[in-house]
Amino acid sequence: MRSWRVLTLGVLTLAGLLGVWGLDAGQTAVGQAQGAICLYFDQTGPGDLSFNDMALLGAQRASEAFGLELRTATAAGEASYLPDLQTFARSGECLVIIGVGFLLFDALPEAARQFPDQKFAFIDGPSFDLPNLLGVLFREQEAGAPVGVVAALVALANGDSLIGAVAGAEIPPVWRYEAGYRFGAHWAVDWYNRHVGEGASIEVRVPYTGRFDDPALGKTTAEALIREGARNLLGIAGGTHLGMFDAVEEAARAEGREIGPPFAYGADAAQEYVKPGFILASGRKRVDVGAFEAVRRALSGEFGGDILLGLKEEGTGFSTVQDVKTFIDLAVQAGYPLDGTPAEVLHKVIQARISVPAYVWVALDEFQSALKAGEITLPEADTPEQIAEVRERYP
Amino acid sequence: MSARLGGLRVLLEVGVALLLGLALGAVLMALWGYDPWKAYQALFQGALGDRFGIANTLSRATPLILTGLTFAVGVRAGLFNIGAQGQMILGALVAVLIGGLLDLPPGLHLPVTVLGAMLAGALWSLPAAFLKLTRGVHEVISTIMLNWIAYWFTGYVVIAYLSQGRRSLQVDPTARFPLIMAGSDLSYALLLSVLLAGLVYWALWHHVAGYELRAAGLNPEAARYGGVRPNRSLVWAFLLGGLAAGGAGAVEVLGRLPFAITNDLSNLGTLGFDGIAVALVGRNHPLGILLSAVFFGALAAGRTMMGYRAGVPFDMIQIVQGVIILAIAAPEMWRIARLRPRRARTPAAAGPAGTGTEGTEGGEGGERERERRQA
Repeated sequence: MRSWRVLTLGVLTLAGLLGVWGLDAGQTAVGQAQGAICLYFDQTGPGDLSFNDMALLGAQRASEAFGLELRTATAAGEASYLPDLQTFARSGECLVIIGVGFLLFDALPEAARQFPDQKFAFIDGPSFDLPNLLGVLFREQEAGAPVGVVAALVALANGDSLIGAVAGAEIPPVWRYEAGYRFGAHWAVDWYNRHVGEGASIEVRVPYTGRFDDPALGKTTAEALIREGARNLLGIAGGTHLGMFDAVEEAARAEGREIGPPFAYGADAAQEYVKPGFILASGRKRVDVGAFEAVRRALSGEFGGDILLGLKEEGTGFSTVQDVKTFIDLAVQAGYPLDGTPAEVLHKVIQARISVPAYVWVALDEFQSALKAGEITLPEADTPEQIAEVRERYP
Repeated sequence: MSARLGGLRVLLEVGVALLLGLALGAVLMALWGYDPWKAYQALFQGALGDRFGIANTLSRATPLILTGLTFAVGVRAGLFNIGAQGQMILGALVAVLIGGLLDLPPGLHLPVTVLGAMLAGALWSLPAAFLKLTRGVHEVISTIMLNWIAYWFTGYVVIAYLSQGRRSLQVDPTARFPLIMAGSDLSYALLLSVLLAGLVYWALWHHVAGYELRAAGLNPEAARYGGVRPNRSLVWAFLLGGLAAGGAGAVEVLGRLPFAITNDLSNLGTLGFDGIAVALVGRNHPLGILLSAVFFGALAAGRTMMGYRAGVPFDMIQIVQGVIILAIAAPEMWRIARLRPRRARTPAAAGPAGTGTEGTEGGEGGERERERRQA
């Protein structure tokens, strides 16, 4: 008896659902003349003080510069990528839908194929030869390499022969970071042996955590590296390497130091302010420039294809003190709790930079100039084979 | 007394709980300065606002129906089977293997792949059944461990042997579920889920094995006295649950992008564990689970719109949805907690919301038997 009542109710509910289905609300809203900037994050989302937050920053700048509304959404999981992108495209309210993160690798081109009249941009991914999809790629090698130079020289100055990095997932953008880091470290060893000492060598250890949103895992990974003797660590794991910063700070404080070593190095944003004194510098990947550029191109009409942002385009590089200042201001705006006043934080960041031998910065200058002049060619790392070769060649 | 609740009263109860949950969520959002009305509007619009929203909702519900069934069948047999996660993962792995590596004719590839995945899920439920029957290992312990083994094993196989970038190879188009509606990702996988729910309903309430299974779940001693072999029923419950969970893995891999398993298994998410909540809200009844899965699907489908249209941050959305789900599950959880001392052997087995103990002869017989023993 009772089962029949439930059955009836179930059928009625389903019938109701199907009724709504038939209505179809006729939703093809035209939206404003130009439409909004629609920023779509994979599930790692903003709040990483790095990659995602910078995409948001660039989109905010574009929104102010061009007077466009900004809309953001974060994916609940992989299963929602395509339906979410379809929903945005169908709403007709987006000038451009910017997908942030390599994880959208399958869903973004599929959505672009289904909605040929909607402009999409893929931060960290290629255009797949689709005319309505703009690939925004970076030469991460050019961000990783200068950090590798500095990390290796600081390590050698402290008598270490091991440096490390806490990496995210095995994907091309992270590989390119790693490739640059390894190359830079080995370039620095040559430089050191020519100008400072003799017979020095460096080993680079880069464990992959597989995750971009797990600070606890980042911390344990970094602690293991520190135990193994790697006291200069680059973070290339998004939110995961925020835990690495904690590990480095704790290790330094355990030795009674207010300023490293050990030192951490940030990625993408100028992350020094997160742990002033313990983060020496950051590899810069200007995701904000990429997001801004995507909007600019969507407005200008020249859309599609891939844009590659590197040192020359100011899309990648090594964090300057000015960068650090900018990000301290941003952190204050975002309400991020700083370790002291902005001036104190900046002071401590500079103190850290002064604490290492001056020749480190001489070498960095030399490296950057040579890179800009095209005298140095960084290794490619777009495929598993290429990164395997890099790992073998620059151990 | 509560076991005498009718279907209508259950719905009423759920309705009240839902309203309470929504109200609580609204207060939270208002406290943090977000517009609750706008947020719920966006949620509703995203989930049920047009046919694409409904398609999205049903698509999200598809695997949840199956993992919900896994838990519910277990509860009916007196088990607390939380092994759906591992069985689902192995189902997904086998779906990728058969769907991606075997070349089969178009009409055959999909059914063979689905069947293989379901069998894998069923197979992975057997160790827990074996351990329980031979060594008395509680299924909560064994299934938790089996879940982890499945997780790491599948991660290893995907990365070591199937990897293409950040995911495994994709299943062939011939092994994918065709779409019901273009422009959405609602596929005919839904049909599989509904059919399996129907099958479970039929097996449990219209077949002698299911009758025995429920009798054994209510009181194994009484059931044995009545000629039922509780051990056999227990194995059936594990197998049936495993089939459904394996099917959930297949549905996820063969039904939508990336048509593969990502290196960190993130596209499979926690479908297995979510099934527990789905079953709880659905009062461990196949029909209730259908409705409950649609409800969870709607929450998932509307989630993004809450951020996109109402500007609610993702963390806040998760909090609000968590509150709503808790509110809906609360009456059932309270009932289970209250019944626990009386029903030490099978805490959740009562399914007392009425949709459960259908008032069939067996259920009541079992209960009477137990009460007499207690007296």
